[in-house]
Amino acid sequence: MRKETKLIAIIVIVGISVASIGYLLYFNQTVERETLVISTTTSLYDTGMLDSIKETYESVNDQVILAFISAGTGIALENARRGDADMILVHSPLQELAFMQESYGVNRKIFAYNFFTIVGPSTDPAGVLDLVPLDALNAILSYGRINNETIWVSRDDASGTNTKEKGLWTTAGYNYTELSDEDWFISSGTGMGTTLNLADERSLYTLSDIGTYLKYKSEGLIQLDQMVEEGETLLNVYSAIIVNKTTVPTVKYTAAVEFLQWLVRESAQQLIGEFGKDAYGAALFHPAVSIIETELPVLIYQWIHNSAFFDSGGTLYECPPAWQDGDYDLFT
Amino acid sequence: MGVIELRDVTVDFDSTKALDRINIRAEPGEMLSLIGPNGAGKTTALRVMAGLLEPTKGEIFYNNERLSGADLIKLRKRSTLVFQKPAVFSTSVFKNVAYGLRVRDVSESEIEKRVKDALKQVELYTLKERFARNLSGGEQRRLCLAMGIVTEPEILYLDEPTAYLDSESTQIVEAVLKELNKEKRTTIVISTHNIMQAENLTRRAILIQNGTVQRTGLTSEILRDQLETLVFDDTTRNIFSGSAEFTNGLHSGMRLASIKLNDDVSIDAITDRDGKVTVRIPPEDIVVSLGSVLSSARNTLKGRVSDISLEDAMALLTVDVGVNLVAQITRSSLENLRVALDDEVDVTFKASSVRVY
Amino acid sequence: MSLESEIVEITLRALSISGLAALVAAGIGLPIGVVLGMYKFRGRDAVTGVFRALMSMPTVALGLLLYLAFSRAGPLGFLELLYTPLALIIGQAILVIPIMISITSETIVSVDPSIRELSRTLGADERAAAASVLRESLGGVVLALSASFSRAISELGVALMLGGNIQGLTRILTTSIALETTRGEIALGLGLTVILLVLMVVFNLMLNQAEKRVRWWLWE
Repeated sequence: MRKETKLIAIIVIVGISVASIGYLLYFNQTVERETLVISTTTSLYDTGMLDSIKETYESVNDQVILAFISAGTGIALENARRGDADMILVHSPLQELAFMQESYGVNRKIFAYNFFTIVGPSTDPAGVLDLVPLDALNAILSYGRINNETIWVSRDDASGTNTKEKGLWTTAGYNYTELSDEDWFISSGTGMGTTLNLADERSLYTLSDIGTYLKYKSEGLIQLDQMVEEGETLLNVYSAIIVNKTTVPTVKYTAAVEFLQWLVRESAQQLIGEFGKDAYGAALFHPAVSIIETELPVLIYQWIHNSAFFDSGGTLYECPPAWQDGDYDLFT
Repeated sequence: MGVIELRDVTVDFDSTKALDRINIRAEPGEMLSLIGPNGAGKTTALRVMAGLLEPTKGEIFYNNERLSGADLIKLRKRSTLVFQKPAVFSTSVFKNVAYGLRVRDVSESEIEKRVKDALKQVELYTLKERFARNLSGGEQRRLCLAMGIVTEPEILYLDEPTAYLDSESTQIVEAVLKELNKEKRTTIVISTHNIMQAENLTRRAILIQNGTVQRTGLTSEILRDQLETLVFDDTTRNIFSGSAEFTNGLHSGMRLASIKLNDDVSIDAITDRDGKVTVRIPPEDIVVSLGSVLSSARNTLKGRVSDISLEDAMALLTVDVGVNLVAQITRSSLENLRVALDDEVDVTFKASSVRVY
Repeated sequence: MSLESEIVEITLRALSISGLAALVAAGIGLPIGVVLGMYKFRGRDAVTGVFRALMSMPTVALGLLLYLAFSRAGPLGFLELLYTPLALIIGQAILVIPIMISITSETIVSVDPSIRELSRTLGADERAAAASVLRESLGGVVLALSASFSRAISELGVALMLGGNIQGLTRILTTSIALETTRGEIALGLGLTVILLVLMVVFNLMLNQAEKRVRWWLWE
């Protein structure tokens, strides 16, 4: 039975060596360094901007690993509520407000913005080119109803982009749920990239964040054209919220605050503003911190102020004082 | 040279009785067969005798010594069962045969020698390095026999040793068994539903049916009395009852009788019996020809081919000569004969080929 | 970090995470499989039936269940495992343990009883007979290992939900393929797919060779 012993010995040795190699490669870094889990949205993550933020931040702060979990805004917020994320980067003011009212979040900082856009086939069957967004939606809807053909695709996945789309239809005077039953209107139920591919394949219009659209367009994956101009109705505001340590005691609060402080700093803001210029010919995101501090340029500041600030006692705040925590020099 | 005895052994599987109070005794150095139809309990009886299965009730004696459940390993060290369905280990032929010696801590040089002997006996020595599972069915059966005999058991049990076996392997296996019994005086117990094999190999037989011993006695006597009830499968062919009548003739100095199978058909056979008999004409002893051939054989009958069936390298021709006679010929001779259904043919066989019971 | 070195890192990580998962699954699943295969007891069929059903557990479903368990708000939240490589290993191990158990026990059941009877009648005691059964089951154990590793390295649901596809930490081949595809980096996704397929083929070929060696060695 010497053989059995030998066999067991070999199995044990192989097991231990694989385990220790694995440990050396990947685990000790999590032991030495703190992992900051940040739940974020696909539109932010899929552009690759957060990868360059991660790389830069980890090079100046080697005690932290930035762990971005990319999901829709809905699941990102849920992650934070369950205590699985220390911080969130999202773009859905209404959902953010609810999140903070449930006292899950503190120290909200708007750190970037860009615009949603309505894209469609270059033949522009519904004739929406250069219309203002709400008129464009109306034109698409009438075209679809009259011709009784599929013309619009919605993500319908409770993402930030989808929330925005619902808001736009509401503003235009329609009920999203009712529209989604009509023949010209289909739901993809997936992320932005897949939805853009679908729209491209079937010559449909859709609402897209500018980042994903530019990336797909510049790489020749889609032929869709941008149909409408940037404007207040299509504003897309990204904010960072730290998970409230009173509600979720396990949160890595200090590390989260440190990262937030870095994110709103000039150097990081510059990085955000530059990202994508080389690759896509245009910036995918615009830094927002200095605009809010200086209230300049006025027009953009007004748009952000009107659409993404929260009301507290009749005044609009980026982050109402009650939800500002600690003195980290984050708010003016 | 071992003696095994089962006394009032009962084996229950779940709620069914596989064996019901059976008594079996194999005498030292004898060859004994357990005959009976499939499912009669022959295999179960062998497994109990070989120490692989503890009976529900009853006693086992080995060399006249009573064994308890814990002693079964002793039984297994001194006797071996060769299964009907060949089971081999996934390794070389040589190592398969060596297994029984390795578990007995036999020295390597001794293993080398004994494995070689055993493999030569079953004519597999040239294949000793081959992967056992890649052998043909017949070769695997012979390998199993070698695995069994290499340990030089005092009793060797074989479960249906030649069922579904090709004729070459059958001859080798039967020769090995006879040799083993003669040279080493090994007690051999086989189970078989092939009564011809029992007749050919063993002097004594035990008839088992429905888990009980129906009869114990000389094989030839059991066959004589009960041949027709002992035909358990269609591999046993050409069995007829008839009445024998002395013809005053002699054949090679032996008594020749004419046996009337029915009103139309009579055949010559060598026997000293008269009156009601059972005969069997081995299909392989029957020659089929188109038109009569010159032959010293006493029996030549004319008939029409009523069926042709193919089995491996062999063909079975059924010829209606007044009774249905089955002849076994090789496929190549079938092709040479160019015989088709309904053709008229001659069948020829010797008087000495006819077995009379 | 350059693209090449990142791909190498992701590949190594996928290999070691899924390799460890398969090893852990083997450590737990093999003994259970052996017991289920070797011993008859009341309810054995029910147990093997359950494990066989679990073999086809959808990975996202298991991912969701484990996410709820490992989440801070979940019963195992205190372990702080969510979004770590360890969580991935555990998740994938749980995913493939039923495969390990089912194939192992199935093999042993099909080997037994003929091999056990053969060994016993050739004079082996119960323990040596059991050893023979195990030795004959080697092919099945290797198959179980290979199937486990292949399923672990090619699954996506558990890796996404428990690992979170964190760059440098829990990003593995399948999560990268999913990510690069949504990012529109189809070529990169395709390249990673090729790597994954090549790895699986190479691994299984190596395993087959290893099986032959081990078989030869077991009979020395």
